[in-house]
Order: sequence, then structure tokens, then C-alpha cells
Amino acid sequence: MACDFLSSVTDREFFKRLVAKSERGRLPLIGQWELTCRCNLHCIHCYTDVYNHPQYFPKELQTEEVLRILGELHKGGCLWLTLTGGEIFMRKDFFQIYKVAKDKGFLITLFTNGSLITEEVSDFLKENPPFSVEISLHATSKEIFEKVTQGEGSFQKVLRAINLLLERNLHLVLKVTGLTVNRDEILKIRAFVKGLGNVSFKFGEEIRNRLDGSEDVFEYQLSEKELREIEEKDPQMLREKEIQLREAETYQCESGFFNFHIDAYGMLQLCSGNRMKGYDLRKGSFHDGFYNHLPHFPCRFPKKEFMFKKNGFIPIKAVSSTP
Amino acid sequence: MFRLTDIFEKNGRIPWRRVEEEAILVDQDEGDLLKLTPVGAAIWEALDGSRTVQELITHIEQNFEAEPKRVKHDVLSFLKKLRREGLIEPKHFAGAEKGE
Repeated sequence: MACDFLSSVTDREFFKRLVAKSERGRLPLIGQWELTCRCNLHCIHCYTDVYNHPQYFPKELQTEEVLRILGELHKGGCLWLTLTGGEIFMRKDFFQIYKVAKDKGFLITLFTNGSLITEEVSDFLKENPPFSVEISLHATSKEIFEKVTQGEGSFQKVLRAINLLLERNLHLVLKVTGLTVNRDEILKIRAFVKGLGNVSFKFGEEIRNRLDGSEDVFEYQLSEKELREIEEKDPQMLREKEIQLREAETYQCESGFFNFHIDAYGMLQLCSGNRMKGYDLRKGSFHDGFYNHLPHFPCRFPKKEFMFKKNGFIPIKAVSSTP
Repeated sequence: MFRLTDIFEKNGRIPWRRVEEEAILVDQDEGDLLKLTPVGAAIWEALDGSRTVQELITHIEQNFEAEPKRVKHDVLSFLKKLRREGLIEPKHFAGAEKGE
């Protein structure tokens, strides 16, 4: 027995070691699970909002189904799990699901609009801390924020959530998708986030078509030129963009090797951006879906570089076969 | 330094999980991925705020083949390292006295 029980490992070493142990060079380490399409807000650019109607809710996975699949993911070796929506806190059983996932040792990231995070919710999260909480902050002004969310009073609620999580020292990421309606807000949001101290910032450039395939959402898409103009005003954003472009030249999509996505109806897919084909986890096991089916699913964008073609921005298509 | 009657627990802000016989800890503040050996993982798992340092040592002695003196030394060294890195927190801590 040696006393060197603890050592740092780089991500690369870690993945390499795990892959060496894995079945057929694949390991479902990183999952994103869209637990619901229900949401209390109706963001103008949201791709899941088309299924945010009562007629679709009964088709979503029930508690027992979610817990069963969660057990299968854990058994399969999944380590990082992102729970997203819709709005995750719209599920009445969310805390039950979260607690089970947490007890199983998943490193959980929560994607939320933040508006339902009350003192009680933030106390619960403090007790059961996630890896991080990511909240969309669409603007620093109430008017523009609520133009995006179409939810009266949502701005104040989200600001409250940010404060509650910061008071509890939880790891917070604030993110924004560049849209025609908030283009003048991006740098203000970045400055606001910087002022908060230990909070990360993410800038999203892509808008996806809605899950029913409709493309009306692209009226809010900023052009590549407009995006570059924003980034050029902030040296750090510009640097990040350049790094992103450089990495995109050699980056290989890992969906189906280490990553996977599950939608609100239990369909296992390659990723959130590719729902062309799915494996029904209500009818089969996660292991069967991941190892025997996912590798054969079509991938329209096998390499990330397709997202950043020099001649212009190419939005990712995410057409869902469900519900 | 700590007493054998001290009780420590995991820092609740550190996400972790078992990966086969080892364990992975994520130090978000440092951005580090930390790996625990099987023995380290067994100690980590047992750091649930219910065992004294002495009970942790006994727990490892019972589950791994090693000389008791060595186990005690290694467990104490490991706990000191975890404490220094902020990965564990005292639940019942008597004070700055030597553990051996």
C-alpha cells in the first residue's frame, strides 16, 4: 500500500484510460437529458417550445421510467449528466429525480431559465450541489429580456435566482444566445457577469430550427458579420472565437462515442442537435441503444468544422421525430 | 494535525463518483480532475461524517492487506493532503494536536 492515493489527471489521460477499458472503444460518459419540454416561459428562439403544450405532456417520460433509465446510465458508466428542458423545475418530480441522480454520483449540470429558483430551491441545491447551474441571461434590461422570454416579471425572478445561487456559493454559468433583439446587450451582459466575480460566461451563436422542423426562428439569427462585429469589440471574446475556430479545424464529433442525448419522450439520440434518428428507451435498454444502435445513426455534421464554414454561418438542424 | 477522535466529511461542493475501483473527484475551483486509487477511494467513500479517524484506519485495515502501522501512517498522510486541498471538512475537530 502506498500513500499516494490522490493524483491529478488530465482529461486526456482520464479518457484514454477509460477508453482502454471500454467496450468497442465507446463509453457513454457524457449525457444530456431533456427531461421535459414544459416551460413557464416562451423564449422567441426556443426550439423545444413547440412541444410546450398540454397535449404533449402525457407523452413525456414518467417518474419510474426516468429513474429506471437513470439507473441504466449509471451502470453504463455515465459520469457527466446535464439535465435540461424546457424548464427542468416544471417537472413536479424534478427534486426526486435530481436527488437520485446526485446520490448515484453523477456530476450534474443544470440548464434552467432560473425564474423558478426560489429560496427553497436554492437551499435544496446548496444541500445537494450540482456541478454547475447554467442560466440564460438574455439581456441586462427588463424590456429586452422579457421581449425574449415573453414572460412578464421573468427578469426580476432571474436576477433573484442569480443572487440566491451566488449567496450559496454555487458554481454558476450565465449564458446568452446572440439574437437580433438582444445584439446590443451582449457586451453589457458580459460586463455584468464579469462584475459578479466568480461566474462563467458563455456566448452562443447558433439558433436551431424548432423541434417540429419549423424555421421561423431564424428571423432572430444574427449574421456571421454581425456576430464578428460584437466579438471584435471585446478582445477576450475575439480570442475565444479564434481558439474555437482553430479547434474546429481538427475537432472530431464525439457523439455516439462518449456523448449521447435523451429527449423528453425517452428517445436516445446522438446529440441535442441531431435528432434524425432515435432509439426508444421505453422499449429497450440504454446499453443496447448506445452500443448497438447509436453507432449507426446518421450524422449530418460529423465534424464540428461544418459549423464554422468560412463562407457563412451554418445553423445546426435539429429535427425531432418525436412526439 | 488532528486527533484520532476527529471526524471529517467530504466537502459537499466536490462532485465525485466511483469509476470501477477508483474514484474521480472534480475540483471546480482549480479546474482539476483528481483520481483516487482504490485505497484512496475506499477512504473517500468512508468519509461520510460518521467515522472517527481511528475508525477510518480500522476500516482500511479490515479491507486491505497491509501492515497496520503503515495503514495508519498512510491514512493520516492522505487525510492531511485532503484537508490541505480543501477536499474534506471537519465535522468534529478537537484541535491542533498530533494524530499519532
